[in-house]
Amino acid sequence: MIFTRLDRSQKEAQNLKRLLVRTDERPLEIAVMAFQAVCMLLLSLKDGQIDAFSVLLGACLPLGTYLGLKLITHFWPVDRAMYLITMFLCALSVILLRAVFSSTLKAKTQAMYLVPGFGSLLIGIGVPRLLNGREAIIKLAMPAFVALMLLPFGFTTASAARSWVNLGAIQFQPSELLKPATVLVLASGFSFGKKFGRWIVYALYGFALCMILLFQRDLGAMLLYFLLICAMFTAGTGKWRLTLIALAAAAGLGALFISISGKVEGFGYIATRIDIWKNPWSGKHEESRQIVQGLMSVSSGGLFGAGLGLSYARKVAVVGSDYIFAAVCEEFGMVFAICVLLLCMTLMLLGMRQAMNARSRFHALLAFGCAFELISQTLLIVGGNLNILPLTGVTLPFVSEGGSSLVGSMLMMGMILGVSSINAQDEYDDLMRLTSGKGVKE
Amino acid sequence: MEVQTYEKLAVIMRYPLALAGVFIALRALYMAFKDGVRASRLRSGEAKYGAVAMFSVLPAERRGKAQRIPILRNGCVGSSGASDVRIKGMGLAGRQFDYEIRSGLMHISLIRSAGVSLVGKRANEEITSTIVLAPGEKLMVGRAVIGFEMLKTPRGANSPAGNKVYRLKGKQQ
Amino acid sequence: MKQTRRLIRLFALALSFMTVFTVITYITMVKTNASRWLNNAQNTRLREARKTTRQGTVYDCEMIALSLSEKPGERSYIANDSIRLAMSHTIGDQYGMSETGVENRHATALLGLSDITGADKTLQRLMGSEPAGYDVVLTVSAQLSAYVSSLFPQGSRGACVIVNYKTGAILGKVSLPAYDPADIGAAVQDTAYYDRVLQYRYAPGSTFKIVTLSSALENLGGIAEKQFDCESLWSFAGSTIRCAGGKAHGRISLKEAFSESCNITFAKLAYETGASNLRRTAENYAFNDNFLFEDVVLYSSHCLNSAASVSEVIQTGFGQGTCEATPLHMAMIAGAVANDGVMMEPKLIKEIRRPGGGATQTMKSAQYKRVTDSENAKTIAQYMYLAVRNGTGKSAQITGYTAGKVCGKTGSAEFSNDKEAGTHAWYVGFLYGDEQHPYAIAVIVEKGGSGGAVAAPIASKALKKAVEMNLY
Repeated sequence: MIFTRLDRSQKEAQNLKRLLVRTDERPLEIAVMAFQAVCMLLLSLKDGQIDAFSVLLGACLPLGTYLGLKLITHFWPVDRAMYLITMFLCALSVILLRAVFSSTLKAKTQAMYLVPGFGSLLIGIGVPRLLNGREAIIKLAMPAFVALMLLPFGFTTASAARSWVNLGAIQFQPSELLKPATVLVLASGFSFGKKFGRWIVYALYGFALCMILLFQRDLGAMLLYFLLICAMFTAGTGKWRLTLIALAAAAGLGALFISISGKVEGFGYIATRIDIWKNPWSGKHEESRQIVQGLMSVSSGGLFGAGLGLSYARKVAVVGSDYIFAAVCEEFGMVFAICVLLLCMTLMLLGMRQAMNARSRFHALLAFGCAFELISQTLLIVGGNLNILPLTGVTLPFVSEGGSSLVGSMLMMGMILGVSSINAQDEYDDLMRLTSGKGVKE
Repeated sequence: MEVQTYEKLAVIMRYPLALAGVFIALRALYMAFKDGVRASRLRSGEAKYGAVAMFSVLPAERRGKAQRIPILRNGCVGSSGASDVRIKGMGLAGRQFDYEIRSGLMHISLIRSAGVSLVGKRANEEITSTIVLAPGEKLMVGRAVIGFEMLKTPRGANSPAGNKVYRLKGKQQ
Repeated sequence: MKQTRRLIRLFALALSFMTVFTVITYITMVKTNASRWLNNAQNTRLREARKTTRQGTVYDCEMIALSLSEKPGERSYIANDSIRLAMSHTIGDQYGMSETGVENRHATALLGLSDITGADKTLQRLMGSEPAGYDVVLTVSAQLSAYVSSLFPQGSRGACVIVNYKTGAILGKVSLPAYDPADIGAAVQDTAYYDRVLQYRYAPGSTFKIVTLSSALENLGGIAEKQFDCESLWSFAGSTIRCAGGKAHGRISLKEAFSESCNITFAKLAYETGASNLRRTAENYAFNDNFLFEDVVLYSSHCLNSAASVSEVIQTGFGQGTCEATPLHMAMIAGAVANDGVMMEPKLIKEIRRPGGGATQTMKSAQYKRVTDSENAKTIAQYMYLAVRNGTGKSAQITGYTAGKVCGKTGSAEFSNDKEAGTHAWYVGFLYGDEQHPYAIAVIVEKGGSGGAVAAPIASKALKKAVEMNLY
């Protein structure tokens, strides 16, 4: 079923494209490819001698985008705008890592991660095409996922980050990989409708994950998961009053927890973070250095940026993953940074449209959950960078460095693309039936 | 290349790159909205696409806006792929009824008559193998309430325009 | 399913709004705060830029070069000791010791890093010329400041600031003790790096009676005709109010009470006006405001910013209690009275110009707020004139000056409960009716004793010099 090759004639394939690709994607494709090439080629000159790796990437990134598009659309009629935007953001991450840091190590690693990332995109496309939400395997997978989430407890020392699994050469964060899995499970669970018995198990599963994250002290991920559960629950079952009650209760508990967090062991940093958020310039805390440098980086960009490779964004702590948006602001400037935000919003809107056009509730929730997750992550981290919200340690999807984050986001994007391809095929089938089955001729 | 030259280059390139970013963002937004507008126009079945009339399908227990399906030619309504207008998940038979639009009225000949009844003013009428529906009248089939409306400028039920339904504006490929 | 669709649409709309909100917040935040954030000692970009960019020159209003760089990475200061030390806080330094100095607060302009230089930087790079920052021309006169600095008694601490109350431009600015910007690292007196004009808050003492008077005129009808009794001591609400030197003024009018600086009358006035009215008037005069000026970093002044007891309100009436203000703010208040009740935004930068000449930014006067209506302003000005002509401010009179009226208010602010501790000497005033010399001044001498005896003469000489120099 994945390989629903359209064994129809060439003409009908053209018709399909014409019907379903309503706006020509070529200008966007060319612009994205040109941007990728120009940036990498420019950066290859950064260190005085021409850097072969950057030149290679300058060719590979656009080529990969182009070939990827051809490959995917040969098999499945996915939404091309979404794919192109995703490729743009992924390339942006490599470009930024090359521009901000003097060594090419991070850029190289990130470029390497693009390969499994693309693979997960393909896997993601397959998921909604294979499943219709009622499979037993989803129910069976739930305990497996919980176990996966618990993995870090077996791999950490007291002082190390508690949400990572370190297997020597590879390290990954289960919470990032489990985001698409959770969306899948919840989409399946909440698409049954209003019957209490059906959805309570899944809601409890979701909360169990949140609790595990709480004990792992990954509060940013916990917040994301919690918002995801609420959103998918509301959209799936329509019980918005219940969700509001749950949100209010959570807000109350949260406030309570924050006020006593100083005394709970290991959570003292919450009070510090809130303090820093309220007044980063007071200089009271050592940790405020990060947000202070971040804000300075954001405002140093001016309208058009400092110039590729000329920024001091490397002075911001953890700029590759946490403060990558500040790096965007400083390297490319405010105009470009706003464009990146608009692109994330467009991605969300396109995803939501696929959710609205989906024919089954499961697919709709799948697309909705993924789109919601991606945009809420974006808003949280950009808010944290700009000090609108306290920093929550989540990553900007696609743009932040990090293999787990990239694979997780690509899986989710793949699922949305998969739903879009199903929608396109359904629409084609409908059109075929409504017209006298002759296809469309000119 | 010395540092100075690179700096010059990078500083000049700021503007084209920002421009590229703006173009990408605006083009993506344009694509998103344009497709959306086209899709909704498609779904509402404008007369220029050759739609003659519209089915309106509503699940029996729900209120609100019905789903509208454009009628381009006479055909069959049912839940399976063999029917021209496919309505899934509402208890219709595989091929439920054939319809034909003549002189502004829909002539329905039932293939399966179980679960079919009229709604509204004609609710108590007996169901035979043929029903004639006027625009606005509704039929309950399975769990769906199906009605139809004529569009303003009907082109003729078997309009060959049905083949030219989805002409794209602007770019021809 | 339809409901799901509807809910999805709702979520999509909500999330779009949130994104747009984020974008707008981003833009406004950067626009209002960028100059503040970047001109920060922690900003490594400044340090890096100082190594490679030739910083611009800082000029005073008469184009005397106060500090300049011949080459990137170097900085030299004006050789004249008295000017250099007097202007030290205004100029700033290269190491971020003086937070409010121009070399720190406007480092981005001096280094060519600020917004206005974006396109210029590109051009500069293209031309291949050595990166150079912008020159900054101040509104302050170095010679006036040096002269004023010399008027303070040897070894004293304090501040003086002279502003043009029509334009808001700061014409003279001195803070003592000073440091030597050319020799950071040398031992200095403690607190020498603080700019007392901008960063130090003192109890205003009797100079606050301007605000109390304003509040009384606004809220108590017919108060100007009332008579008051001063019996040298007044016990009320648990505190004992005395007039300076234990004097008993007897039966006096409001005018005389102001001119003679009767504490008891103003304590009673504050009580009659009431806490909320007094707070409102004070906040009209910019107390409790978080000043976010472009040119200067001015710390906020406080007055009744939390629920105050009756005793607190009474003491605020004559400028004691928890009331505190910066010298620049007091000068701005005096200027507002002189300027028909309109307080102007303080300006320090007259012009920013490109290295080759040619201004990119010139000072634009801006109204900050209206503190009181024109009528009351005239009345208060009249009272302040009488204070100088007949009252405690006699030593502020300027011999040979007839172009306008010298108006002012003295103050002797207690700063500790210890009776032996002495008082800060304050004088706050302006020249009224002289179109060419619209000056307002605030002088404070820490622990100087009596305002009329110590601060007023300094003000008199300072203003006389400013008039002679014909500054505008």
